[in-house]
Amino acid sequence: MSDTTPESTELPAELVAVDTNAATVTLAVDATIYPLQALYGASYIFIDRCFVFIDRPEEGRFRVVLSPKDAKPEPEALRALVGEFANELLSCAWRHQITQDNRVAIETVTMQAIAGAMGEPSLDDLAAFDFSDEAFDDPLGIAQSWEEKHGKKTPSEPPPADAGDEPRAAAEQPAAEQPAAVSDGAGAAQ
Amino acid sequence: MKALIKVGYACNEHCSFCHTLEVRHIDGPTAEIDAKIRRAAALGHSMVVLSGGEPTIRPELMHWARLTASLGLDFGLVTNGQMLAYPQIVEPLLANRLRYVYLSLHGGTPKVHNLMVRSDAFDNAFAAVRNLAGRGLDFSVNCVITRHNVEHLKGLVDLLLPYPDLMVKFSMVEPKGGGDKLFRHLMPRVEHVARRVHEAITYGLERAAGRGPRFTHGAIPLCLLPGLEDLFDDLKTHQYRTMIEVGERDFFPVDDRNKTHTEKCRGCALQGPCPGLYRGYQEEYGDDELRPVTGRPRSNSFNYRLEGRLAATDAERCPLLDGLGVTPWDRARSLFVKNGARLARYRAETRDFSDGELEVIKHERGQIYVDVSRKDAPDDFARDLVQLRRSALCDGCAERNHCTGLFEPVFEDVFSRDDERVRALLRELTGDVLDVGCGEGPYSDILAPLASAARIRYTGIDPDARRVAELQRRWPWAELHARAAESLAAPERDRDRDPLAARHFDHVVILRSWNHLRDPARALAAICERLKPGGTLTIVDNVAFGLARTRAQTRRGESSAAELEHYRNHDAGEAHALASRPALTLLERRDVTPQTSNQWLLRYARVDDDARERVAARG
Repeated sequence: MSDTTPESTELPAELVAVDTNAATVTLAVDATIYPLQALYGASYIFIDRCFVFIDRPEEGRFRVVLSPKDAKPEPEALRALVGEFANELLSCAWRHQITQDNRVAIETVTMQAIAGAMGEPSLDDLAAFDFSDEAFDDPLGIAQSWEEKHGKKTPSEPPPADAGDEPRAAAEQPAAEQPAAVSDGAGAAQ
Repeated sequence: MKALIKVGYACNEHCSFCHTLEVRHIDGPTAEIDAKIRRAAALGHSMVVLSGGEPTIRPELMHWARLTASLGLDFGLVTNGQMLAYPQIVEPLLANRLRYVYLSLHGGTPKVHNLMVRSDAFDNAFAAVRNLAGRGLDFSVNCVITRHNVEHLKGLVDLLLPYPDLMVKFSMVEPKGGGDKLFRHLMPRVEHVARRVHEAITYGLERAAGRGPRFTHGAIPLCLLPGLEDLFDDLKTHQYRTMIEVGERDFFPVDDRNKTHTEKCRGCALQGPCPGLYRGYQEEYGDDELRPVTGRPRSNSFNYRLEGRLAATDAERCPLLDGLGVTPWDRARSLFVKNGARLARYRAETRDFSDGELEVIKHERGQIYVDVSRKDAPDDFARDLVQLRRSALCDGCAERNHCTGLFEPVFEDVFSRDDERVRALLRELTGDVLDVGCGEGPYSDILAPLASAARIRYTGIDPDARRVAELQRRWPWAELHARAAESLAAPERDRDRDPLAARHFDHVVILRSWNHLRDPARALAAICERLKPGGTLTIVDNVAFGLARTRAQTRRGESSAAELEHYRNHDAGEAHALASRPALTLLERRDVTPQTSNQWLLRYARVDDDARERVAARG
């Protein structure tokens, strides 16, 4: 029968459970404190000594089970193992934070180095470059000109041949058709 | 140090006052914008700011942000903000060094803003404000004021009060593009705009109580915003150095040539930082609304701060023509100094002088010096300053009249040379002499022997009682009075108590104190009354000048507690225009030129009134 009662008051019972029968130690990890990348980093350090199992039993919480590959370890050894893991996890989380903080600087230096090594692209390179795959996801349809959105002509475009009775000045000067509305609206807002 | 690049003029809004109304169909090709970003880096800028049109609707936006960051520069946007309502666009821009956003929001409610921009845009623009606030950006919200939102400025203040890292700017609409085409419909009177802006900023400052956004104003004459003069804001306060439109081959410095200071502004103490009026506005409405501020002292010098030494150049070739370029450098504020093969670049950021004044000082009068002293402010010009003049390489150059120019040191003591004429005139003095603004008595070696030999009876006046007492200790032979020149025009009833009321003089000298007089016209009228017929009046003073200084010198100088003493920086022409009157005949005039020091001289003779009347009667 497994004994899942903590065998030492040094380890917080709500976070650590040592199973001497199964020779495993289980650590609960708060996902709001430790990012998953830090958990991966810490686990990687232990894969030569332990089998490491990670799962997420509930939202916001990871569970890590360490099972030493060696012969059945003493409870003291299990407690030392999980303590060591916790420290490594903290170290990885802190390094992850530093990396995040310095990411722009690191990327900038790296990009400068790479750009310098490659030399400047030629104008032909740039002219041939397809930017369409970098275009934004624009579900609200914001990224289109006012003229496109409202089906208006730009100042450079001549009026269509079949413009009919529409006055030429009004067709060519969309700005001139709006002032009354602007004036009324601003006045009404008082 | 920002470079402003216009990427094209298409826009997803259609503001009634749109600057680029006529060219909205033009978009800059990608390769052209890429090349301009690289050029901005090569010119030494620290940030590229994209504008338009609306730059954020270009699909290359992220590419340009990445390219800019890859060159080691920060990235900025002048935008209507709609696309920045998408967090998925804001986040990668921030990761690619987005550090500056200048966002348009023209009203505090959808009704006002949407009608100004003629689009359903308010919700997106305000979402962008929420996305960008608190992200460590240099973040401004600009409100352009037309007749249609001028009564709604406090609504915008209320909306933005919860965002303490914002700068909220109120800008007078420019008569350009739509603002020109719909001038009568859009253009409010500037005095009314100033009143409403003053109310809105005062309201915002009170409501924020030090915990809300900052407030600024733009393109409104400072004389109309008493108490808020220091809150002016323009391209220069935002550290823009250069800009480039679509199709232009190279960058140009930002300038204020779309605005003007009128004749009414002459002598206004606020002229340096003041935007003046938009030219189009002044042509239509005139300058009746301006209220020039006089009676405040102003600076008489400014600094060109060393920005860096450039690589050694061929002494026989112009480095500006040879790669640095001509157009990117501000004709007045940039300064290139060449000494043999060595080349240094300086920059003047002063707002004590307008761009027009700086150009006159640098190019027309040639009053630029290298400060070779280690003082906060040079006080012995002959020893402390080395004059700079246009290089011989500029002679005959086709770019000469619009280039910032190449300057070289002239190792000649121009100050002592030009002052020798003043000393010669003083040596010739005889009889009763009045020295207006005697100060610290700079010509003791000439005046003391003349007084000892009884050739002159010297009387000096100066408003600074401490200086007068000190000079009296050194000059026991002199009759000194602590009083201003203007007080010579005392009312008739006070003349019994005035020891100088009945005195008349053979010679009056105003030696480097003309620009210190609060009211030179009044002072001069009184001086003329004291001048005997045939007597002389000699006026000598200096024009403003620029000092090329190291960063440490500039820092020391700008932190100095020295008080300003000049009420104007007249040259000989301006002083003569004020001094000229029937009672005086001009004997001698020496102007300031690039070949002289900054000292000018005017000398007049008092006309004999009786003789003049006889001549008039005959005429």
